Amino acid sequence: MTTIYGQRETPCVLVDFDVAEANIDKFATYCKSKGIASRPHIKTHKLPVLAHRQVTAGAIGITCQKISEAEVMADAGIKDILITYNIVGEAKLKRLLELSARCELSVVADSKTVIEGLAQAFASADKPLDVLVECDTGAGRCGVQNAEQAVELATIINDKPGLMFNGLMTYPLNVDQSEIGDWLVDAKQKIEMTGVSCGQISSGGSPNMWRAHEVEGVTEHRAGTYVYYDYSMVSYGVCEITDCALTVMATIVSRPTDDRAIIDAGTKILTSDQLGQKGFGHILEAPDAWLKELNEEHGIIDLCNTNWQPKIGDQIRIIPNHACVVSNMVDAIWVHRGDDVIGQEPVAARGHVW
Amino acid sequence: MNAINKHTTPVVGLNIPAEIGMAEEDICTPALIVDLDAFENNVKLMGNFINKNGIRHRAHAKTHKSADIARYQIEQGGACGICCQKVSEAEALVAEGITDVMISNQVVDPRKIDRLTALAVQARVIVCIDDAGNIDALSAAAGTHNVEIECLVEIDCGAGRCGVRPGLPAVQLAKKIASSKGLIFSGLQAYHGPAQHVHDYSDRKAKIDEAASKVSETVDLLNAEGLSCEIIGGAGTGTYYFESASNVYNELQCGSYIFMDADYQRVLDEEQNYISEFENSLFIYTSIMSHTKPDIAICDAGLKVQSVDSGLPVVFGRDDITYLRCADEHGVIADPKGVLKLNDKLKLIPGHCDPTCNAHDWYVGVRNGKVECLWPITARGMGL
Repeated sequence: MTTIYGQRETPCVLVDFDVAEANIDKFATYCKSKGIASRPHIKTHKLPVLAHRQVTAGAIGITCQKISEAEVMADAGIKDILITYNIVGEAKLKRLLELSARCELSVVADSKTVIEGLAQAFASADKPLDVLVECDTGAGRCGVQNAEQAVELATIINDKPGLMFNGLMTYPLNVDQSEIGDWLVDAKQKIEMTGVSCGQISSGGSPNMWRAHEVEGVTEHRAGTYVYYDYSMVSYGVCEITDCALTVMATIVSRPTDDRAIIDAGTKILTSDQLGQKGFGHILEAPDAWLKELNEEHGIIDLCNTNWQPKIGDQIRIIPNHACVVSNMVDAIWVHRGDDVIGQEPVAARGHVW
Repeated sequence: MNAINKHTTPVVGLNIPAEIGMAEEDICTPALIVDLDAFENNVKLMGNFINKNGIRHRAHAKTHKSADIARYQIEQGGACGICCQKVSEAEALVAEGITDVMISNQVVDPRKIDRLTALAVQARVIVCIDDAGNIDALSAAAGTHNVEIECLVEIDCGAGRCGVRPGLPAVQLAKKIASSKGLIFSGLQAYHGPAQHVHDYSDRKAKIDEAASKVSETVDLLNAEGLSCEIIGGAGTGTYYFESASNVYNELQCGSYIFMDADYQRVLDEEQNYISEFENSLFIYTSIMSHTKPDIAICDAGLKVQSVDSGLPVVFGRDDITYLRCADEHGVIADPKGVLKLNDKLKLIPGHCDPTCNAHDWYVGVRNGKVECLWPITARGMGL
C-alpha cells in the first residue's frame, strides 16, 4: 500500500520530483557533453523550486514566456532570464525596465516596431538591454522571415543606445535540425559581414532536444516540457512512460455500464489540448483503457478493449497529452518521490499570462 | 516575495489585469472582459422568461465561478439558487454568502461527503445520486453533522454520462433515499448535456422531448409509490425553452446564457437562424504582438487563457480576420489584407465559455469604454 492513492481529494496534479530531477540532470549532462548552454523554459512547471534545481544542474539561466512569469522567478532569486516573447505596449515596457534592474534580462524582437518600443523604454536605462532577433525557421509563428530581415533588425538594435544585439533565437519545428542550422548560420554570417558580432544562437523545444547539437552554430537550447515530459512526448519517441513526472489523479465516480467508467477529471484540469493524440491521456493503471472524451468536470473512459473493471471510489493516475497547460490549471501540485508524498508546492506563476 | 503570493497586493500586469477607472484599451492583455450592458441584459432576459413561464431557474455557477455574478443572478435575474459541479466550488460560493446550492453531480469520496454535509449547516444543500452505496455513505455523514441533505436521483435521459436508467432503477434509489436517516428525497436530476449543442432545432427538440417523456414516466412511477418530486431539474442554454414547455421539468439550470460563446452561436433556432436571444458579453481581450508575414498576425492569447474543446475563438465584430490556431501563449490570426498593426486590440469570443473562465483569476467589467469593476473568479481551479 503506497501513500499515493486514497490520501488526497481529486482531481489533483502529482509531480514525482525524483523523475523530474533525473530528467533535468540527463539533459544537463547532454548539454555539457555537446558544449551547448542549457536555458530551460519554465512555462512547463512555473515553480521557482524547479527553476533553481535546473540552474543548480548547470543551466545558465531560464526562459520565460511572459513578463509576469519572469517577475515571479526574479523575486524567487533567479538571476538570468530570457523572455522569448515580443514585449508590446507601454505598460509592459515599463514593467520590463523595472524587471531589468532585478536580474540579467534579455528579450527578443522580430520587427522595427517592437525594437522601437524597447529602445524608447531603455533609452536612459543604467545598462543596455540584450535583444535577440527571433527567426521563423519554419514553425510559421513569430520571427523574421529571412536572413536579410535579421541583418536589418540586428543593425537597428545595435544602433540604439539602450539596446545591445545579442544574437538569434528560434523556436524550430521538429524536423531535420541541420536545416534550422543552415538558416541561422547564413543569417549569422550576413550579420557579421556588417561588422556586428552575433553573440548567441538560441534554439529550443523538447521534441527535438536530443538533436540540439545538430543545429550548426547553436550556443544554447531552451527545453521546457522535458522536465515533466507527457504522453505526446512518449508518442514522439523522445522519452519512456517512466520518464513522465506529472500525472493527474482522478477518482472513478460513476460506472453506468460495463464498458464505461466516469472519472472526476475533465477539461478543467486535463485541458482540451489533445495534441493530435487519440484520447486525452494515458491511464497508468490500465494502458489499454481509452480516455476517449472529456466534459468540463467528467472524463469518459471506454473499457471495450480492456479487462480492467474499476470500482466507484477507485483512484487512477493519468499522464496528460500536454503537461504545460495542465500545470497552469492548478494553484498547487502534490510533490512526491516514488511512493512517498512530500507535500504541496504552490504553482507560483500559474495564471501569470501578462 | 510578494509576487509569489497572488493574494497579496494587487499589481496591474503581475497578478491583476486592470484597475477600476482605466480605459478599456489600457487593460493588460490577455484578459477576460465582460461587457456589463450585455451581461445585465442577458440576466434580465432569463428573469423575464422564467416569470412569464412560471418556472424556477437555478443558475449554473460552473460557467462563471464568481460570487458577484451568482448574487446578481439571484437578486436581479430571479434565480432561486445556484448549481455547482463540485463541492469545493460550492464551498467557495457559500463562503461568499450564497445560501441555496445544488451539486449537480455525484459526491463519492468520503472526505468530500464529509465536507458536503458540513456545508449543509450553513446553506441549503442538494446533491445528485446514481448509486445505492452512496446513499448509505451520505446518510451516515448527515448523521455525524446532524443535518438533512436533499437528494435528487440522477437519471440518464439520453446523455450517456452519469445517472441510472429512467423508470424502476430510479424508483429503487428514491425509495432507499426516502427511508434513509438524514436524507430527503427531493426529486430528479435529468440534464441532457449533448442536446445543448445539437445545432438543428428539430433534432434538439426531439432529444428533449424524448428526455421529458422518460422523466414523466419515472415521475408517474414515483407518484404511485407516494414519492413526490419537489425538484425536476435539467436544461441548459441550448434547450431551456423545450424543458420549460414540457410541463415535466420545474427547475432550469442554464449557465452559458450570461456570456454566450462561439459554439452556442452555431446552434440554430426554429427559423434556421443562429440563436440570438442572448448577446456576447464575454471576450478574451488580446493584443497583436508580432506581424512578420504580410498576411499572418500573432496575438498574445493562446491555450493558457482559453479552452478550445468546442473549437477556436471567433474574432468579435470582424469578418476580415480569422483566428487560425494556437500554441501555449500565441494565437495565429489570418490577416489577408494586412490590416492589423502591432499592439492593436481584438476581442475574441471564446469557443467554450466555461473552461475559458476557469483559466483566469479575474473578470474585468467594462462599460462605455471604461473599467467599472473587477470581479474575482472566486472558485477558479476549485475542481475538488
